[in-house]
Amino acid sequence: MLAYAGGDASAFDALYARHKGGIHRYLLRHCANAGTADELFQDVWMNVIRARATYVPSARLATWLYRIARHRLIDHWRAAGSLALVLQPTDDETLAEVPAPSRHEPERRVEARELGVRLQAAVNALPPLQRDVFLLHEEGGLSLAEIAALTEAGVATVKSRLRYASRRLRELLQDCR
Amino acid sequence: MNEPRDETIVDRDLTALYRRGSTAEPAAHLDDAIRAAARRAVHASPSQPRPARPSGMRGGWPMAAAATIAAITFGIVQLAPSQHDERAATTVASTEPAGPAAPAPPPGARTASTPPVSAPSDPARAERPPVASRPTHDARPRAAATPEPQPDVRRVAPSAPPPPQTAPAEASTPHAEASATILPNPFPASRGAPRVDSDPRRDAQEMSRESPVGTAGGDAPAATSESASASMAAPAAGAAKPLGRMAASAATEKSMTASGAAAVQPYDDWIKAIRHLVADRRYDEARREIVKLRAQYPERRNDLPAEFKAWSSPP
Repeated sequence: MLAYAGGDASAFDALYARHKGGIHRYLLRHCANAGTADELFQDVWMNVIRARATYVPSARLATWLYRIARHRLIDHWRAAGSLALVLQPTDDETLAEVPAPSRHEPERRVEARELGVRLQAAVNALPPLQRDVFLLHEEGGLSLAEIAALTEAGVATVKSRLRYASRRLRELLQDCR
Repeated sequence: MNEPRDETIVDRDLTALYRRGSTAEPAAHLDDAIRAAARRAVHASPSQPRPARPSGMRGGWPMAAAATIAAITFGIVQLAPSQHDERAATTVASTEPAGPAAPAPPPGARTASTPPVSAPSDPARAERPPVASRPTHDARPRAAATPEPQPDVRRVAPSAPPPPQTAPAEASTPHAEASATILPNPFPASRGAPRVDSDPRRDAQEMSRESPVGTAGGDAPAATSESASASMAAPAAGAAKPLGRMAASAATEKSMTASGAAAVQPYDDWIKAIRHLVADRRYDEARREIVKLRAQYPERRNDLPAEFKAWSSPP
């Protein structure tokens, strides 16, 4: 990122090639809509380009990139009026018992479905905060501390959310193994 | 930092399953658009943001300058015809006789009835009659300054009808125009040109002043001095002989008393003038005039009045 901020256009290509998949899937898993995900994805990278002059390497680049993506996602949810429902802070135990929204549930559990479709459905079945922590951990490769700093939550909370998410996914993808 | 413990939280089978199923990538056109935007941003400005324009006029200066030039050009074009008219009117006015020392017009101008050089186009000037189109009142002083020889004009002037005894303003009549048209005068506007309309009184005075002494020489009869004086003015006066005689006698007295040029006077007029001098008790002048008279008319020495014979020689 520093090289790109200094005027090296090829540095951005390398940066983009490394992180474009993870950020795109992060957005896509949250939105469950390809068009919205593409729009948000483009906005995220435009923000990266605009923020190159003010970039300060205080953390890992992945952390900085996913923070931008998460903020853009929160803006999207806020504009859609579903921010309170998605990011309502609740106890992890309660979250585990809250049933997933109907739109996030797999409408049908098809045996011969592609793994991607089932995986998308399983992720969508997760509570938003658990899904967010899981995606940041799996797509961004962020550690619990980084996720905790990014989500402004404690490391223990992030660890618990990740545990519940994994357990839920194992249950949902049990047939795929 | 806690990677082992994180992996224990998310088991490897689940991670492997997720990696296998997470193959979604952004579309190619989205990749190209983002990369192109990144390159444009780098080429436009490497790292520093552009300073804001001090004002929104930087791109508008050429248009503003062009509009100003167009407005000035339009104004000049609009003013150009009126300036031309004023210039033409000034030219016409300059050809007018502003005074005795006014320059002569170009030779192409033949008569006072010459049309104006150019008619003013603006209404303000149209209200005022053109100066050059005023007919004959102005033509007279122009003709007075012409250097052409006068005898030709005087030869033609008696044939003109007798002028009316009116104010000079009335002299600017079609008669004058007709005379000016008849006479070939190449410099009608000049003040030195001869007058085409004759005034008998002025003509008589001029003739009496200009009459040579020799015309009343020894061959001239003394009894017809007045008629001789009038006859000299007759060619110019025509039917106005009485007026011419009066003018001639007045001119004689004036010339005798003022300049003492008695040598050119007729004999009887000279005698009368000398008697006037004696009556006025101007004896010295009377004596000088008698001496001149005797010298001028030696053959009429006997005709000298008796009271003047004693003065025939200097005291």
